[in-house]
Amino acid sequence: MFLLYITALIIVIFLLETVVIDLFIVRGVKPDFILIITVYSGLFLNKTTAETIGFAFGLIQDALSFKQMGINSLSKFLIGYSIGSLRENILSENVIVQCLFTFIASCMNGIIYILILKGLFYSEIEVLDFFKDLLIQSLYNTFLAPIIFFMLNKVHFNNVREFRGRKEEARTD
Amino acid sequence: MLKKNESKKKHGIITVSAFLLLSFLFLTVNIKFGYAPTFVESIVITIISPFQELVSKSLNNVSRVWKNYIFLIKSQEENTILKKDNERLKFFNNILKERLNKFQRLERFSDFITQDRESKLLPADIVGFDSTGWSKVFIINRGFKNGIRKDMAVVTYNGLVGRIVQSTSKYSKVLLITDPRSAVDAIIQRTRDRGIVVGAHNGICEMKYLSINSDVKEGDMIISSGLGGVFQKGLSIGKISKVYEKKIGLFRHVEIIPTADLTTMEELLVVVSPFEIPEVKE
Repeated sequence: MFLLYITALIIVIFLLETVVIDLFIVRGVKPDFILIITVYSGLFLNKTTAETIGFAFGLIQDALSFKQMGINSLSKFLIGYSIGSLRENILSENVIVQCLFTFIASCMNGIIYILILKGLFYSEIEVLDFFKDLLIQSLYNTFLAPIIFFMLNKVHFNNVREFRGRKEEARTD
Repeated sequence: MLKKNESKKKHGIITVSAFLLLSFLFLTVNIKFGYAPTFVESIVITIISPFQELVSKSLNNVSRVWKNYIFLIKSQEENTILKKDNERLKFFNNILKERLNKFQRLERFSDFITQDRESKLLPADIVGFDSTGWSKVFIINRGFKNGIRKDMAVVTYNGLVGRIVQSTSKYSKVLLITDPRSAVDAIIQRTRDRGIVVGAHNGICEMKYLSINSDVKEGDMIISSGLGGVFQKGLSIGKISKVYEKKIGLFRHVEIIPTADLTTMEELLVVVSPFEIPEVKE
């Protein structure tokens, strides 16, 4: 049921993000909601779900962009996979942890993007300008992440409680 | 228990390998086929874009009602019409200026005058923007069923917006002139110096390969040169906002602010190529 909620939510966010662009632009940069939701899935759901959400919605981002097929799906899949793999060793509920992982994931996403564009497509992107924008986007994502995580956790309340229970059980074992 | 763990591990490895393989496959297809939309792109656009169009139209209608009926009933409407008229006149004025320049030069060299063929302007609406923000791309609600083809110029009455890079039956992708992958052969209207306008970050453009001896000044207008066969000559691109002083090297470097407001475009016009006018189906 939660997966249905999250899919519906992602579609709504995605539509708003691609249609009402003015609402989200700060210094010419937009936040990446799909990335934030991938980080959330990695921190609070399981690894496979995080990978699948990252890959599937990254692919939609690629398809609606130009000459980017495979870039976002790869980077978001890797982010979902990495955070999902670390999930059991970190305290996901901690806001600092959430912010730190979102910031690192945003940087990782940008670095994969520029590496592929420069390395495979020989794109003439100014690296310094790109990193300036990447820093702004990473900070923007980091600022928004706890708010979105809080909202998703509200919807996911029962599942999270179950998750906590399982974690405590594992600790006592 | 051990068996269950092992099968879970196996399942995980298979999932990871499948996703990695698919991603690399898409990258390879992307490199190999370049501009042609892949089947995934076509499917996603066909599924998602109607929803984007619906949301976009609803929001535009709400905003129109707010602006025209609630906020200011009549003056706002009049103002919009006058603004549009003004933009249209600016657009044609620029083309006429360029034609006058051309006539003067041709007269000077006692050459014969070639006749320009009329281009057809097809109105289009924006359906959605790129969601990552890294690419300066948007989708419009016209596709090859409406006669849209790759490499057609997209303008507003204020100036050049970009070009069509991919088309599906009902929708097309437009690459903005502010995208780093865009390049437009351009000339400075006053000095007639040539260069290439490319996208830079933060919604501005840069002019590359401009001669070091060019007498370029801030405020000079940049127009398309017509070379390259994509953009017709005389389309306004932007105004020079900054000239970097350079004493060494072969080229000067200038910053350009596009004349078309690329953040709040409402009405777009696709210049249906004057060289190959397809049949336009309404």
